[in-house]
Amino acid sequence: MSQSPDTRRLYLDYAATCPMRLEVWRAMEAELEFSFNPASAHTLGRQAHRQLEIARGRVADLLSCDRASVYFTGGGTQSDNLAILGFSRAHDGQKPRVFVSQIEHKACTEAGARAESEGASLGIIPVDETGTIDLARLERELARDPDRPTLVSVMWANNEIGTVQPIDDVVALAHTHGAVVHTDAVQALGKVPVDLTRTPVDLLSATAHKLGGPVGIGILVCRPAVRLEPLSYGGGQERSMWPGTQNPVGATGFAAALDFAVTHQESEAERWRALRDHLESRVLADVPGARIHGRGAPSRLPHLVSVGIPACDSAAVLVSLDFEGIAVSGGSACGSDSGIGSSVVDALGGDIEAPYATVRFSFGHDTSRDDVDRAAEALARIAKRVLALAV
Amino acid sequence: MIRTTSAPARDDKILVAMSGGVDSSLSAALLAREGRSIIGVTMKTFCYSGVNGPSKTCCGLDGIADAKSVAAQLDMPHFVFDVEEDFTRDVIDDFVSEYAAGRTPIPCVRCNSFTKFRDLVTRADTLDCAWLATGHYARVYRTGSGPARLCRGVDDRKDQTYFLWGIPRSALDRLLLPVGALTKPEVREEARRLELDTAEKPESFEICFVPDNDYAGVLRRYLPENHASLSAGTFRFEDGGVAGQHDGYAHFTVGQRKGLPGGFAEPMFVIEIQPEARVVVIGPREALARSGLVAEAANWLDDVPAEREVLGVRIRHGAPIVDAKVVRADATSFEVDLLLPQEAITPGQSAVLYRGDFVVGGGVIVSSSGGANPST
Repeated sequence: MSQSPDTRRLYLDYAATCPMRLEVWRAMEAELEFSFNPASAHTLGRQAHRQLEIARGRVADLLSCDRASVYFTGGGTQSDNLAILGFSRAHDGQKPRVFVSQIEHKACTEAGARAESEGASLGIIPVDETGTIDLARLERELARDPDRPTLVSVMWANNEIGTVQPIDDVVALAHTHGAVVHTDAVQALGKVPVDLTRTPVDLLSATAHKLGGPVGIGILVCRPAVRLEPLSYGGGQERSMWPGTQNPVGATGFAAALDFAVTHQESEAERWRALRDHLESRVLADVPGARIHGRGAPSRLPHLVSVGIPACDSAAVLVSLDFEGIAVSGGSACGSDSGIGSSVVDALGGDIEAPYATVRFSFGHDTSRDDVDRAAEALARIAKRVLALAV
Repeated sequence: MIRTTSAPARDDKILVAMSGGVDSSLSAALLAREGRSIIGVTMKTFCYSGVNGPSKTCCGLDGIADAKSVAAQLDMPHFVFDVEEDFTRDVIDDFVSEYAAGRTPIPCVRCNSFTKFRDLVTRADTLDCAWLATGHYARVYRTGSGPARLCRGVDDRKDQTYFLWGIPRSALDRLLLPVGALTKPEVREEARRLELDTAEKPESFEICFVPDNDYAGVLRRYLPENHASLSAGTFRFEDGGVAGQHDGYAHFTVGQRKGLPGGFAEPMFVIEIQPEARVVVIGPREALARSGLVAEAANWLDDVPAEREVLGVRIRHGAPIVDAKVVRADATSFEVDLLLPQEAITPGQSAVLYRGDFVVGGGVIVSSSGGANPST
């Protein structure tokens, strides 16, 4: 195609899924011969069970938590639902309260809405223009009715704009008021340090495919003191929290991916930060009217850049980038099908009148400075064309 | 952007409107097979939340998923274009107010005229697409220098030109209709041969935002309670005599037989709706015939016809094209006399004019005139 000089695939959508790492692939491949039911009493079943427990132990070590707190689930959404609905249902009849931030993933906001429809009260804690949660507001809400069972669900880092929440402060505040803290750490793991001794959240959700592991396996960390009602019922696997035949190969993939991500977190974060700052300065210089969402936040994910372009059509930009082989997301990958704008970006306030293009770039282990330059050049060129045609 | 009436150049990008049905799926597949640079778009016209059960109609969420899956088969970029706000204003609001005024609108014409062709052309520009393709059964006829002309599809039964008269001429210049040269059975067969995921998808005959054809339900949702069109009124004969009571004139359309009082020597039909008086006029079949009509909101896709020119006219989807003599025609309206009277010329429906197989233009019928004997 003459108008697109370079159409090689350029993947800058690691926050949607990080393609499976070779180390993970190998680790899982080695386990495939143990594809037996870990609940079986025979030798083969025991071997499968052993693999599952080895994986659980590795995950616990990497997160600095107790192995008995680690439950394997089907993924991030499932873990978020188990945490929020499981908490509210376990306290059914005690007027449970659930607080979520205004920019949670839908897995949390929708689970919160469901809990509300089942009788819990749901509170939405606003964020400032950087996406950082309003701690003073959270404190006021928590102080209001301290005797009710209360869950605070605040994501460790936001998937659309990359804001890292002051999760230590959230935990301290919530615990002072006797509330339980859940965090969706799906986007934070491997990108910022996550140490559950230092940050004693009660519940934590994560998923393997954001770390270079397989889709379809996640974890919920749940401290022993927290009472949850399971969402499904069956043969008692995962201590009845997530019943159903367990997945040792998936668990091995999760552990291998987490291992790599955590081990390389510090060095990768430093490299990504340089790429992020470079991309942001190029975008701000070359794309008319562009802004970087969450830029002023005290802490941000190192590998994610969310660009907003006022008066610019979102789909036109995304499809044009795709046409040149550059894979990115709009607000989030999950919202890409809906054709509608991002509620996270709306929550930041400011003049976000439609049309408004949101483009999320996210980096991985093989993202180079050349890649970032190519993306910045393409975005500037495409945005100028789309803006020129805006009425 | 270069506007050309000749065929697309090798590297021209083409925006393909994909509803998720077999026709637009095959359009995309045929262009893909030619090695064209194509981008798929599916319009999300309104939200189905609150409507019970999965939707069988074509533009809904099922349609989005099906279009996406065909786009993946063809390895083409695909995106969803949320037009809910504009669609509601341009199509649904009009649909409701037309029924409320006692007329029988065709939302598909409005959707083509506004949503599909006006808004998609704008979208094509932002995507650097010189061309727009859809799955309509119609053809675009291009000669070297002249403007593009809209021509009936080869499948007479499927021809969709009746719904396309309102599209902007500028859109016609850039329009590609890959299935217009095929019949519906050929489209199915080719889709099967290419193993498209939508090859066996049943055809949709519903209006996309009217689930189960319950258009009165849509009106009840949008109109205030006790609106005149949904309130009790009187059936009258043409001579003014009372024939009974009805539960709202919005439930009736000219030519309708169902739901009328019985007990007459011959079947009765709706002859006219008089919204101010909430009256539905009924009469025998012969009272339906009219020999002339006036149409407004005209759009011309070819030279405006001259007075006394004899053209073909179609007054309803699926009706035959019949000869008509132009009484007058200007930029915004026209009046024709029918050489043979036609039954049930219905205000709100379209009158589409043809020169041979080519669409000259069309308009929305506002009135009909003359009885069975031509008025001029």
